[in-house]
Amino acid sequence: MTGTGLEGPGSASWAKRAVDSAGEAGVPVARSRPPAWWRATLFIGCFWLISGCFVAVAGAHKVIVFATVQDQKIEGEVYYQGGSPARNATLTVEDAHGHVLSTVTLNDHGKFSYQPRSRQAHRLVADAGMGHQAAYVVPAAELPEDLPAPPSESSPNHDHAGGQDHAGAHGDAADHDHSTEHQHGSVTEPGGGGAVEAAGAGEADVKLPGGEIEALNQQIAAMRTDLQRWRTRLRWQDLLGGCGYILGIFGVWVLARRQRNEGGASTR
Amino acid sequence: MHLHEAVLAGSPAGIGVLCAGAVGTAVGTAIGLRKMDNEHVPCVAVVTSAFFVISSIHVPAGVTSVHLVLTGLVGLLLGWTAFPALLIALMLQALLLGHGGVLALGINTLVMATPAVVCHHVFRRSVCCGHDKVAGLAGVVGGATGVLGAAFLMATALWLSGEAFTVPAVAILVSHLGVALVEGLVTGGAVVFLRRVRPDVLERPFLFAALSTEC
Repeated sequence: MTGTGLEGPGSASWAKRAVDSAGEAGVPVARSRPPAWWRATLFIGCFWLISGCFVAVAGAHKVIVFATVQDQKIEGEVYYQGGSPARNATLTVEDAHGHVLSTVTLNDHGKFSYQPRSRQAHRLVADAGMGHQAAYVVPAAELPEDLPAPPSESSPNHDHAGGQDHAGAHGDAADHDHSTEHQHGSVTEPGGGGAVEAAGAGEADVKLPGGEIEALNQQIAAMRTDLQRWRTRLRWQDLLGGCGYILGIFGVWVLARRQRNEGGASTR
Repeated sequence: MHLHEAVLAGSPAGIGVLCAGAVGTAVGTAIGLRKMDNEHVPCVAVVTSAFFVISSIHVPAGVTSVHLVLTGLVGLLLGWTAFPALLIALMLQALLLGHGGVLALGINTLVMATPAVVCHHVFRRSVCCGHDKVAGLAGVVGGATGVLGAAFLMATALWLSGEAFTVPAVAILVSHLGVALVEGLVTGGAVVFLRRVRPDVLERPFLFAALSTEC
């Protein structure tokens, strides 16, 4: 095949050997193919060289929403895998029955804060547009115990106190009218001396000053956020594992086809 | 460019889109598997691995983010075999990385593999011709076409599932213009590189019985 303009220096030696051997045998000149292992090695090396330059900043656009309960409010953030905030994403808060409680458009920080009105599971649905969506459920057990019980399904809580508010510094989606004073038999008095009293059977209430409880909650929330980010980040192991699976799947495919072809040839 | 199953599964129209995508992908995959012989499998495997890794590259684009897909290059190299290759890559992304979802696997594969096959039919002859500049330019245009075609199909899928079309489609296409430019350059560079180092890869006839290297 001459005049194609596609012959590279790498193929010259193989082509020459093919020409010489073919010419000696008196058969038409045919261009021999380089070994399969060489082709595979070259391809793998080239693509990995290019890909490896970018894996350091790899982070696909998987949308992640995460929230914790802090200071009796549901606070969280919406971000892409890799850590960048989901700017202008829409966050919808739904109750346990799927009714929409509030909707807010997040700001550049992707953070939000929502004041729950009842002690029920809240489902947070984040929509970053173009088919990118994620959901997170805040279980009722994480909400303050002094919140009223959830309304029945026949009277959905459609309190849109936050309405379609555009986010401020924290993307508030509800008003802040809630009382910090509550009467509960197992909760300590604020400003106390930190004495710990035995809780009732089956309960694990620890009486601490209110300030220490809030500090602990903040530290736990920060740890949970860091843990969530660590769990959802893209890692080298995931990419290598995926490539390994790909090569293995195609290897099994080749093996199966070869065995089928050999079985068909032996029966003839 | 992954459509999440939660976006489409919320309405009957979206479920229809998911089913149509699954059927289309099944047909394309069957055609691709018939055209894939044992000698070609290592190349398909490596290209699939490259797509799996490179589609994880995050490129911020305004209020959202986009990623490289290399559908144009995949189509130029694999042709109809792009369907099973992208199906496997997207399946592993859904299972290992949580991108897109298993239910949306069919529509995601159809969205990305269809432009790849189109690029193969349209630009393959130009890529294999005897002029490096023409082949490089064809690679650039093919790479950009692959991305924009996939973006258009994604907007169409969202429209068929009940969302508005005009504004999201424009937003999707505009946000992918930068990616299309980058992918075009990458594809053009890859085509020129392969012509000089591994010309037999581009010469391999995947669709036509005897693909001539003459333009």
